[in-house]
Amino acid sequence: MKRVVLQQREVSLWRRTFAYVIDLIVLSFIVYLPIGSDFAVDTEGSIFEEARDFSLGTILVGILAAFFSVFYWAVLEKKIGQSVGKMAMGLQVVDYNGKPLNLRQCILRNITKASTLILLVDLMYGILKKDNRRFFEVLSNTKVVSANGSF
Amino acid sequence: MARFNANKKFQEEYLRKMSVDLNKQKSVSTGKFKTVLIVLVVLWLASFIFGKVLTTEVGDKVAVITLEGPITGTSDTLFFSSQGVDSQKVVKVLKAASEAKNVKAIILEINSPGGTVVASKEIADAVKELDKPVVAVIREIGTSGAYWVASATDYIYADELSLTGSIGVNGGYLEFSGFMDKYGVGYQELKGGKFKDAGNPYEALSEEEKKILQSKIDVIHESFIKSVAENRGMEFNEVKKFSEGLYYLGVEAKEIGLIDDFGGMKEAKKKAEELAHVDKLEEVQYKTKGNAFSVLDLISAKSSYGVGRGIGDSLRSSNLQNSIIVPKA
Repeated sequence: MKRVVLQQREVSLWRRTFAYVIDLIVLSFIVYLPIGSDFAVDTEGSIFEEARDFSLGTILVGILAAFFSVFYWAVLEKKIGQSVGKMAMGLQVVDYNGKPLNLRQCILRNITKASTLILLVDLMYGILKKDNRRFFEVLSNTKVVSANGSF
Repeated sequence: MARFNANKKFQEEYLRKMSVDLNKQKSVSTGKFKTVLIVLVVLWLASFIFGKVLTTEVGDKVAVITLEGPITGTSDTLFFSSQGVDSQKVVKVLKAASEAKNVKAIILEINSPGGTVVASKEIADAVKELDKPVVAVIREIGTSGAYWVASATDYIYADELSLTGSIGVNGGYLEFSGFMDKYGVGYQELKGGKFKDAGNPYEALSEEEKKILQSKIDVIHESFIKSVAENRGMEFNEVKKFSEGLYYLGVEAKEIGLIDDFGGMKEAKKKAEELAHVDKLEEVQYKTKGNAFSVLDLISAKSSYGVGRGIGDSLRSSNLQNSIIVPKA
């Protein structure tokens, strides 16, 4: 099969970062607050002085929150190619060869969002690469491009 | 006329196509909006339900807060190493445990010789304000300010051999005016106010100054006794009898009513369950989160310990501990 490389305009890391921040804000209201409010401990003051609770419940909350986060990105990108943040920033996820995205690709490219640390390593890979594709984007054969239209 | 009709037809066709495109775009946008809305609603519902289920199923907990080392108003930080109990942080953690819905009781695990007056009182006051049962466990030592904190809890456990009590106040400083006199070093000062420099290390205290400073120590001491008496439900004079600053072993402390029972964490947990009227509580450590230097803190603490041990070993090997010369009679 002839390989079709997408010619869409490259997107800057800044636009992607803003999109990610918007998504995090959305997730804070939709997932993190309702799931973790009863487990939340001291959140005032600096982030370095946050009281921590290391119980089983908190660990389960963390795992569920991570699962729901991946679900948010994976399902939205599979259905409409965009998360809320990407819509706002006019970005779209596409298959690198121009084929329609499948769920496996969408889960794989977003799996690193379950852990900030792994995401950072994944992101570092993308920053070092010319086309800014994260390692898991390369693995999933996907790419983020400028969307034709956004609302 | 024919040309006009053709133009009109073309225009109509163009407008129709435009309208179809716009409608298509509109329906795509609406479809996207619907999808986003459905995903967000599903996620919110799932998060809300799971949050509630986890709170009730895994919920009931007893927060364990550890007070280890001297109590101060701020972290005693040396390089990256911080030691002791920062009262402000403890108050913050207490507040967090108090606000957490699934925390039904609190255990204060105390291993501290005490600390500064205000910091100790600050923690004791915060403990008293809690609307959840609080149980104290005194491990090796829980004296002075640390006992003040323990006394504010609902129940105190200690080992038979723990050190506790020491209800007293001391204030002191290194005074080396004699040393300065010996070496002909003088100290010049300018002051506005007779007692402005009371307690400066270069001059011995006058009798009047001593009296004034002692009176302040007495006020703090009295306040300490009063607070312990109130907290323990004892008479002021009863507590005063044991408030000469002497520390007591657990066995003695129980006899005079400074602690409630002998025990450790296991007993404290049982008592917390009893006071909270809950069958089973899961223990959970409540502590302040480490900062970016936590790893360095740990490394420096360990390396400092290593250096200290090295010096200790070298002193021991050179028999310096036996170097005190006792004059022959």
